[in-house]
Amino acid sequence: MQAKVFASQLCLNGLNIVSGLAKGIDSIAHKSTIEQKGKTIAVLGSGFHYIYPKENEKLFYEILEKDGLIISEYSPSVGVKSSNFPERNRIISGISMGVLVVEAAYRSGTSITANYAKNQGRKLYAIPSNIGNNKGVGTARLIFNGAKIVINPKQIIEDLDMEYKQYKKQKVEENCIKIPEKFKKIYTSLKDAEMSSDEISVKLDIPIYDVNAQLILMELEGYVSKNENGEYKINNV
Amino acid sequence: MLSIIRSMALNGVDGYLINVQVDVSGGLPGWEIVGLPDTAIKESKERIRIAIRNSGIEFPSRKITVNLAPANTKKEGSFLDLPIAIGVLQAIGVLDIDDIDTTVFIGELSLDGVINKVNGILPRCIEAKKLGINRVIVPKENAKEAAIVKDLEVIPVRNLLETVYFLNGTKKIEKEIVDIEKIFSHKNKYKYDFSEIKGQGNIKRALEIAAAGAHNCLMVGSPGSGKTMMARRLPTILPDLTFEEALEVTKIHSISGILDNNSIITQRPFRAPHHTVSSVALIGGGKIPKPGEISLAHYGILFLDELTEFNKHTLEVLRVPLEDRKVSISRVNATLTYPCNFMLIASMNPCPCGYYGTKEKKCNCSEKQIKTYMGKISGPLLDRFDIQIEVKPVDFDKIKSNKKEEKSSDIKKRVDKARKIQYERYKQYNVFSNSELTPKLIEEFCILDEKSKNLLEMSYEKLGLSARAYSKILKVSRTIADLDGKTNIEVKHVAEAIQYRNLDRKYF
Repeated sequence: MQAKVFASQLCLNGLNIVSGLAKGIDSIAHKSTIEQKGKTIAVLGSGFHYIYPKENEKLFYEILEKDGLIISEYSPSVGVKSSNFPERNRIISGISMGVLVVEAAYRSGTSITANYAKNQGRKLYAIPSNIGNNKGVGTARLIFNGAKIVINPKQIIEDLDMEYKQYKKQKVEENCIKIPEKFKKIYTSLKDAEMSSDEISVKLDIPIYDVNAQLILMELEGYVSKNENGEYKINNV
Repeated sequence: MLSIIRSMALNGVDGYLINVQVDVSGGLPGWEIVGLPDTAIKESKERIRIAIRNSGIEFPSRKITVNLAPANTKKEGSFLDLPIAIGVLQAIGVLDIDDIDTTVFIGELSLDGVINKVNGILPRCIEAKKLGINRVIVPKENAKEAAIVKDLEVIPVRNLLETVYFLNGTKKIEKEIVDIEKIFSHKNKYKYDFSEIKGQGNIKRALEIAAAGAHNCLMVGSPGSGKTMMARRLPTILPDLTFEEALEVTKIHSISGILDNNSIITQRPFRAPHHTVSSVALIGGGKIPKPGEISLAHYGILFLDELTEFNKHTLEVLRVPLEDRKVSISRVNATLTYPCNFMLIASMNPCPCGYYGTKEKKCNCSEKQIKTYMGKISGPLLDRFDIQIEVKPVDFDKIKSNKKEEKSSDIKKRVDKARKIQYERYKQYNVFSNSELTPKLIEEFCILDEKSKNLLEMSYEKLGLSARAYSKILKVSRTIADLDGKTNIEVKHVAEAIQYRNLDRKYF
């Protein structure tokens, strides 16, 4: 979720978003930039004839269609080789003004990129997250080692000596006004914590069948979404 | 002298009449049994000879010939001991039975003359009654089971001598009587109840819908989340067995020899075969064909715990019986058909380590591993599950809470109501529940209004539902509407039905 917030706000403020067309944060960054009609660059770790991962083939062409750029240091016929991916990270950091780390496991490609950025004299930012989560450990270490801690896109823009402009920021309360009366109870209860349908039903004392039906409707309307644990959370962008 | 005694043999789940023709004549002493007997019947010579002698009756040292008519079908089992022994005694003049044409004898003999119980008494007696037999003489242990058949005089016998005295009129044996109404009034004593499960409202609701529409159901969840516990309680909310259904279930259990209280089964069966089960044990068959687990689960529940651990081939054989609701076993000399109208409930882990998508433990499985694990269940089999739900472990806080949970009997009332609506609606189509709807009937009875149609379309785009989910969602929303007592399917019913297609969204 943070990746989406940062990518959209940064590109709206005139920055180009560079990433690696991988699954997860990479795809989110590319997609949300395209969504905001911003510009994005994808750096591949393989030749153009070998788009990896396969799921992102659609995204690959979308980036090209929407005025984006795809870069690869390999000739088109070079296949997918795992050792090439950490290598290409040096290009990602090299062509950028700064690197923002959203999630990083203790030992991961992201940490490698961060290292390159440091050696190349690029700015390094990290979003703090839960160190209990495996993917939060890496960012915590980066912060410990001197990465700049950021909690909103504004800090990055200002750090780069640019003027920050907030684009259509919506708060939970504002969102609440828009959502229909019948969903409000569930929506506001999700503000404090992510909950499964069971927990919502118990907490609000609404029969489970009503909760289930309403959650699907809310999900389709885009008010809430399911996380990987099967719990519901509110979408506030 | 010739005597003809009647007995009943089995073919699949139905009995058929056998004439045991015994001739005792002069010549070299010896035995001959003809009419395609199996080894057990051939061995009966020794049992019968010694049992008669040990009962204090002199065994004739003459030439004995036994024919089992019809002579061209194979007979198996030890149930012909008693009829052959009676035939011998009748032929040598120890017995003189009057109504021999309308009496059937079934039983196995021990060397001391005691009559042992045999399997499959009920289907034999049902068929005997149809053929105009009005008296059966059966082992004492089987008497209760035989007495279920209305207007059939059941004489329980313990040993050969007692039988001889009874037939000669020197001893009276009370005929066995079973009060069916009394048995049926005691039927709802289940060991388990849904009120024992704290929380888990989501799964309880899903199982309620499954029970109401007889939908097959797949539960996916981490170890210890309560999948098995839930499944065990499902029979407690299913509608009661009718007498006809109970008879059919008892017949199958009788043939398998697993009737434990020796009378009619009044509860829906719950079968949970271990995942090492072979395909023959599952669907039935074998050298001497026997009903498999799916037939034992007839009118009840077949629960496959740890579905992914089952042999892939074993699972695939389930596909046809699940559609046809009967299974045909073909052998060179005969084809048997066993009914198997069951609800399939299965459970599995979400990944090899078991903790994918849970909070309490980290999952170490790679995406590829998870895909391979899920791929063990083939698409066509997955298609047979109308409802797929994720089961989450309950928080300790909830287990502690004193909140009253709903009792099985209350849930059952709603299920009964919904089943009744379905029964009335599909009366003329030979369909009993929403799960059995054919594509044509779905078109006729699962009509969506504009709003619901839009909702379904939107969910395909946004939630990535697969096309195969379409008819399942329609069927399940029909059941939800029935539970709600509504004639038309509404938006909220469809929305809820989409919630029970978890796997389409998350894993596949």
